[in-house]
Amino acid sequence: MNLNLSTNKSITTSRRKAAILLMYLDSKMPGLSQQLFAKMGESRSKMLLHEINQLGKVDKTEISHVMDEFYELAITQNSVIGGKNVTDKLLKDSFGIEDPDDFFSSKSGLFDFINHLSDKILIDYLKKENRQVAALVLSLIPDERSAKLLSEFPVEQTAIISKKMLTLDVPNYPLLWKFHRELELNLLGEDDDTIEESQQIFKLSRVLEMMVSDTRKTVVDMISTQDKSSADKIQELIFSFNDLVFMSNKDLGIMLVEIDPLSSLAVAMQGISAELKDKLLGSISERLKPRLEEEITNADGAAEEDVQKAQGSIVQLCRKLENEEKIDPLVEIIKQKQASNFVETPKSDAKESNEFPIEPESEEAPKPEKEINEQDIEKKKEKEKEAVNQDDAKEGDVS
Amino acid sequence: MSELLGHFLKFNKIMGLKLTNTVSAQLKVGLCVTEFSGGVKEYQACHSTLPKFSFYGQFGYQNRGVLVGVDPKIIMLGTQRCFGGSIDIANMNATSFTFAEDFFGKQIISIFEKEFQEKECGLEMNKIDYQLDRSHLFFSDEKVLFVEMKCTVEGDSVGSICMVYPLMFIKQEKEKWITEDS
Repeated sequence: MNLNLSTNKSITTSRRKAAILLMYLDSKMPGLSQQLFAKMGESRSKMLLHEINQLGKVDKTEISHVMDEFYELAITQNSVIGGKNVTDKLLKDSFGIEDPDDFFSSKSGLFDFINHLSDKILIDYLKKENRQVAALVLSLIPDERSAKLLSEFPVEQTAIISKKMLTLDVPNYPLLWKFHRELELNLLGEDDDTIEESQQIFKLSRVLEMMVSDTRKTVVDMISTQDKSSADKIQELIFSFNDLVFMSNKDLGIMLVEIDPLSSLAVAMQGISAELKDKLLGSISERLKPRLEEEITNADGAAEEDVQKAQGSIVQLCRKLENEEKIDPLVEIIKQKQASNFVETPKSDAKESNEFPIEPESEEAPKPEKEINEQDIEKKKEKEKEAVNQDDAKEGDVS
Repeated sequence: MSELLGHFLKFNKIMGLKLTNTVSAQLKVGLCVTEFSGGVKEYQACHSTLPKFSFYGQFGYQNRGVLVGVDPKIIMLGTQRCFGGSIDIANMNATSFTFAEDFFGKQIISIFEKEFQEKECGLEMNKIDYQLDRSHLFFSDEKVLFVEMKCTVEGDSVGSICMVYPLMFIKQEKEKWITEDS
């Protein structure tokens, strides 16, 4: 299991390197990436585009490292490239396997990548697939998950698949291993399809996420005037600093440890809702808490631009940790936000909106803060007058 | 020309044997070519024989091409066996291929590809399609060589594997077919 996890990790790392290399080369030779994509074929291009989507901001050191590796591998050829002869030798030396084909003749590790797929992606695929394939895949995954997925099929299909699971013969493992690789390429390229939005909207939302919130708001507003539906979809896909309120305390703790320097967190926390502030302070270690509180006081009055930049860099840190699988997918947080009808409010009235949650069903527009205050003051004055009159009347009665 | 065609048909027969042998051995299923036929005819005559929906591999050859069609029943049966299923020829009426069936179909086409590569006859795999109407490799009145291999599994018909070649391909690469025969 660990072996497979590390294999998966190395695949991700290699894909990231490929994405960085492609972006860098394209910046030097515009149009090069188009030519390479055309050579790569659809499924590989899709996978790489997905990786580019996830890339975020890449620092200079990482680019330099990737370029050096590429140069060594492809230009000076100081490094060796693997191949069948290499794997044959490694298998023989490491495990004493004389016939390498035998290594791919067992089911150990077959379709292991499925464990990293969501139930939704897997069931969507299996429903479209040959029933025999569904039976074999379900027989290879843990019983509990298999039962859960099987129950998602229509009853008559469940019966057919169950019967096929009962009568499974020894499959052709070498061919299945080939199929494993094809399917992995195909399905892992779609692992973000849980958000059922077009790739364009998805990509744009990621780009906007990297902008400071003022600029982002201007762009979304501009799109909204021309295409409100797309603007709404984009807004729904953007993960913002305020959404941290929906993050689990465990993930928040992991993320907070990574923030360096702590003062940037203090700047980012300027003007946020009391709820989020409490949550952040509650998730940081007791040792760092007094330091953070002190930094928050120091950062008081920070420029709006700096606050937005600091918030943006923390959002990007969250994306980075998500890519490294250190925290749960942020899509779950976005879903929670949508489910709770969370309305992102400007930070100046964030507290107000928490105290007077806007009912989604309510057709009445919420009253502006100023109007509420003026009305409240008017009512208060009237009550005071009435009270004074009543008191006067009482006093008159007594006298 | 007829002698050359004879050599070429023999090459096709051997290729068909290799294919059924590979499939039978790997999938433990008795796939047999029960009827082999081949001859020159106009493409429109082949067009009416070829199924509208099938697994078609298109090979490119000097701005022209070679068409290889594998009956959907062979693809579905092969996929079933490949994934540990039993031989169930009934209920095999589909109008599209799943991801696994597409994968299996490509494996079959790659056997042909390998044979052509060994002959070094300059054929290149161009595309896979499922609809005959999307293949436009020949003029309707063009003379082509049509090869059909009717297949059975345990006595039940599972359709045919068909190949359509432009005559120029057979002529230009003639040394290769003659070498095969010798």
